[in-house]
Amino acid sequence: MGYTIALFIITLVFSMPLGLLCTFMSNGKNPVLRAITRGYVFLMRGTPLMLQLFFFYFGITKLPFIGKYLAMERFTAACVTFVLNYAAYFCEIFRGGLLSVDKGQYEASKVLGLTKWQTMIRVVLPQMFKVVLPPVSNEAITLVKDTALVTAIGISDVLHITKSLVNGTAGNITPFIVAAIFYLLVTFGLTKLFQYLEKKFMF
Amino acid sequence: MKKVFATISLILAVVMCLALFAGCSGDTAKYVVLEENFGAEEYAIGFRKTDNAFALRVQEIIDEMIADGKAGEISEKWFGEDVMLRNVDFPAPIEDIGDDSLQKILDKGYMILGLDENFPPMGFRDETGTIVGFDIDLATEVAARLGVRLEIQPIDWNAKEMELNDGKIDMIWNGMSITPARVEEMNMSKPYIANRQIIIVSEDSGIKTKADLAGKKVAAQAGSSAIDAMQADAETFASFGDLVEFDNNNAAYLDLKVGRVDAFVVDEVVGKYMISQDAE
Repeated sequence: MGYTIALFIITLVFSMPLGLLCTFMSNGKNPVLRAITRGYVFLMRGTPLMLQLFFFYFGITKLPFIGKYLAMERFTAACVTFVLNYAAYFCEIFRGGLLSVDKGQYEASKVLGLTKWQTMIRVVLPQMFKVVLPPVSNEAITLVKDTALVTAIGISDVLHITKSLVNGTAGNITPFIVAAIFYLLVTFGLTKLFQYLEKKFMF
Repeated sequence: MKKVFATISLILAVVMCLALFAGCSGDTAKYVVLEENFGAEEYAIGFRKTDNAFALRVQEIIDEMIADGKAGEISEKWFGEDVMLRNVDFPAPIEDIGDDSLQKILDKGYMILGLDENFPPMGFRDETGTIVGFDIDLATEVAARLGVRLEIQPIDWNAKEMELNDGKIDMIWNGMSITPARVEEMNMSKPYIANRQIIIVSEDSGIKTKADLAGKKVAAQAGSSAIDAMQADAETFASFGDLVEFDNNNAAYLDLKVGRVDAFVVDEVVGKYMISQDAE
């Protein structure tokens, strides 16, 4: 249970800023950075999370020269994979949010004499956050359940332990029910949190 | 406030439905083991191909445990009798090349045992969630005699060779059957228990022999030696309607009970334990 929750929190905390950074890079003027982020998002969204887990845990150690320095602990590898994967999704969500901010807002800010940074932080970002909250909440809930994939690289998450408990007791399925309640409770908490945030961003 | 109540009652409703489901699953059909099987085999411990010194030292301790009766005692506890194999030889010779694998284990002070803990009675979780079993008891004793700590690492059975070769675990000790492919890939210990690949069917299925499996759906654990054994019996294997692979044996057994597959091929040690647990 500790692993599931820790992985969930670490992924959210690190992937959102990384996703935002990617958004700025892919919207920026530098064509090289743009191409890099596009490629990164394409790769991360285009391959299964399970495959990425295998790559970062097993595959990466096979790279020539640098491979042996990149060998990670199970949990570290899982965190790296999840952060990189979810950052790609958040990048696209934030990009959509940025696009939804009307051009008139930038022009108005310019007229008011705001600098580029002021415009971004005080005018554009708050509006973007408001738009992206529902899809972000969606991703967060998906993430809760995606954490179960880490069992592929030998981390005993909630679902894995549940399955083996059922196994050890020859088919008594009570653990499944307990696990279902656990996931429901976490999702319930998240739903409430995002409802609160949405209310806060009502303007 | 109303919403909170609505949500809570919804959750309760879901839980009750699930509980109802659990109540219904108590089936009355009996499950039997066919006379015929997919051949005998033996269990051994797998070490990295390069870890000769470590493999030899562990084997030495196991031989010692068999000689002084400790292994027999552990066997009595799990199987009710002493089933340890004696006077057997390595499936492939392991040469003493004086490598540093043993010293490395002693230096780090622990050895990591990789297992799929869905394998009762060899290695599984009891009601409290602790990993226990016959293999775990043996390994605990070996670690104690070696003077190191035993670390138990649950792994995905399909990734076991990668886990071992990448050094993420030091040994696979989990009722692992000796197969030619595994002997090729790892250093395997002397066999310690004999096993057969049995076929479990529902008593009223009408399946009595391997020939009756023609056109039927057969279940087994993915990456298990049950699949190798079936494939070795090419004629029977080709006659199957379908081979359904599950990520663990319990899932395969549950599916047999639901009736979505007609037969389940599994290690005798495990299959018999599952049936006996069911009877309780």
